[in-house]
Amino acid sequence: MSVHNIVIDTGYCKFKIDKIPSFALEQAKLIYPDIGTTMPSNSEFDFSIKFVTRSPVRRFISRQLDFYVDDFNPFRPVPYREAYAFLEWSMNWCVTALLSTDFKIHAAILEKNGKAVIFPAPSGSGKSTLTAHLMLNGWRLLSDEMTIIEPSTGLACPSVRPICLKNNSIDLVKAWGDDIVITKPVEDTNKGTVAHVKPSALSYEGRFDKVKPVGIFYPRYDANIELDLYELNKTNAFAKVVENAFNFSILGSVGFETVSELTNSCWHIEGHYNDLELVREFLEEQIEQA
Amino acid sequence: MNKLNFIHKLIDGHNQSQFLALSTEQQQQIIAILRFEGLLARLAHFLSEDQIDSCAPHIKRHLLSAKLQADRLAHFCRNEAEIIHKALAKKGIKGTFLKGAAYALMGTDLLKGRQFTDIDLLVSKPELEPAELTLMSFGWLQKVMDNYDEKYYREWAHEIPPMIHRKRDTVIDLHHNLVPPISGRAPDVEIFTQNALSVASGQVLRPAALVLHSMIHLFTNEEFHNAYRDLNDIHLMLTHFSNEAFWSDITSLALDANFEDELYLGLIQSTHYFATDIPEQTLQTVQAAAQKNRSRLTQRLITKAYQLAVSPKHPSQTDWRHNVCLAFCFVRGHLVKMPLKVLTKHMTFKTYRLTIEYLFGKGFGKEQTNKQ
Repeated sequence: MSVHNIVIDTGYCKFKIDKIPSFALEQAKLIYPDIGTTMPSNSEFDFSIKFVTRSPVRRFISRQLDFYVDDFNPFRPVPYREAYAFLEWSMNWCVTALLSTDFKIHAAILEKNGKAVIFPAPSGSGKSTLTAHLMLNGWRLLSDEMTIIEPSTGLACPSVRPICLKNNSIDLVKAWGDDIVITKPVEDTNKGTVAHVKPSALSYEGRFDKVKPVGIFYPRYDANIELDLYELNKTNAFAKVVENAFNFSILGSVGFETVSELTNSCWHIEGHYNDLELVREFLEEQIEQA
Repeated sequence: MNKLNFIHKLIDGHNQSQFLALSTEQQQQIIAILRFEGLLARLAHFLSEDQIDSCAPHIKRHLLSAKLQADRLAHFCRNEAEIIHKALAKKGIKGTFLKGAAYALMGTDLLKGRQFTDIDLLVSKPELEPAELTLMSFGWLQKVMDNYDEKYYREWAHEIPPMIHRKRDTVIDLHHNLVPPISGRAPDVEIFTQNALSVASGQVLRPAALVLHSMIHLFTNEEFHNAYRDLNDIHLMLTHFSNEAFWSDITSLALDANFEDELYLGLIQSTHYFATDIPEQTLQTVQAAAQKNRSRLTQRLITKAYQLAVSPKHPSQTDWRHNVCLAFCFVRGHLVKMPLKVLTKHMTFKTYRLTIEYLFGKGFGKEQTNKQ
């Protein structure tokens, strides 16, 4: 196991990685540009993450890793070969559990022509496949999993991390082109087989550019439906945002006002589809009307 | 910079602005340690809004996040206390809130930035069963336990098994005493609850009893994850309540109830870490009382062991000495709560049970009476 001192900069957050197995570092280098080549000053990071094996036995038998955030280890150990996937998971955990001042929604968010659309969806609804399709067709990815809204301005903050694909969608996306950068799939995780798609250069370079959301789209993949669209009324729209939010009640009245603002200033549409192209065309038309 | 010494001064209530003089890298390291100890929100509360604003954006974000979470939890805690108070009032029961819940109810100045989890509530022994039934009827249910654990709680302990609200997942620890009766040290609760302070949702212990209870809890415990935070609470309370009447009250209470050891340890450790201002007379009286119980050398060893046991546990700040002291205090924590004979039987049974579970799986051979 190698010792490395690298910083991953997602725009919203910087993570200093203190110790990580080499193979996981290779995966991280595939996904994040500039790792190991530019070294920002040591003081500019939000969290430090490291992987060690505490048990001398588990260093050799059924290898596992303990991972630490700022030297704090509240988690169960993880299988050695899942180290990279867990690095991604631990970065999610830091933002979810330890940073509460901005409003966070469990949703992807992408931008085109200065307008952002939020895509809340539970796992398995096909959101990540749609996210990958949009990103690979000129949309800027702000995040695949976590929409972050600044309460004072209503602007969405990018937190640029790879798109996490699961099971069937991995092969699907791979087939779209040889130049798409995807990590080697890891099988038998608790989410099935998992792989990560590198954010586009446009997305990574735009990681400090905040943008106003103009719409919220709820994607539902359905093999039998080409494209069916439903507009939500304000009450449902408000409720659905809250349902998908991470820290609505912690933010108290600030959370309420942020969601009210989103409800009033965005369009809210639920889409059932099996054709990604149709969805993209619809969205590109829709944002021009806003 | 010796980080720990710096931190002790930082959270003593007077010196928080020293944080601003640090480099960002140093601030980061301090934040990691404080968060580990559950004290980040406290620092955030000590600093003024302008002071926090003057920090680098990512530092500011850490401070504000911790503060926000702690404040919300305190708010939820107060709401929960109100619901509990109203529920019990229907049966004419007035419970006394203890520890974290008490601090949340006492007002905005005391112990800001504390993390809250369970709600601790004290009622008299005769009120225990009606209180339990009332809380159950309002949705707080008990975890199902096997007969041995039930017996442990009902016969030996000073509290009944935790009650969890079926919808809100909040937890109540209902006490009928402050220390397990099996230990032989359970006091007459009346002397603690007399002159209780009325608050919006019931009552809390008067200052001397509140602080002494906090010390008793800390120094009769066998684990020390939150010990440093608890000690900081004690220091801040001793400073906040300090006056002649308070010192006299806490000393006589401790001596009457035979908790001079715990009071002594509380005062000594608080002074050691946070330079608490304690009247010389009080310290001498308490020290003399505690000294009577054992030899000078033993007293010094125990004091030193606890000194390390309550210090911050962040891995960057601990070494083998901490582990030795923690082990020592772990054993002592058990011994002060249970006589050796009982403890031996209890530990043997627990080990036997764990082995069976490991070999044959949970639930094998356990007796469980279904509750009506």
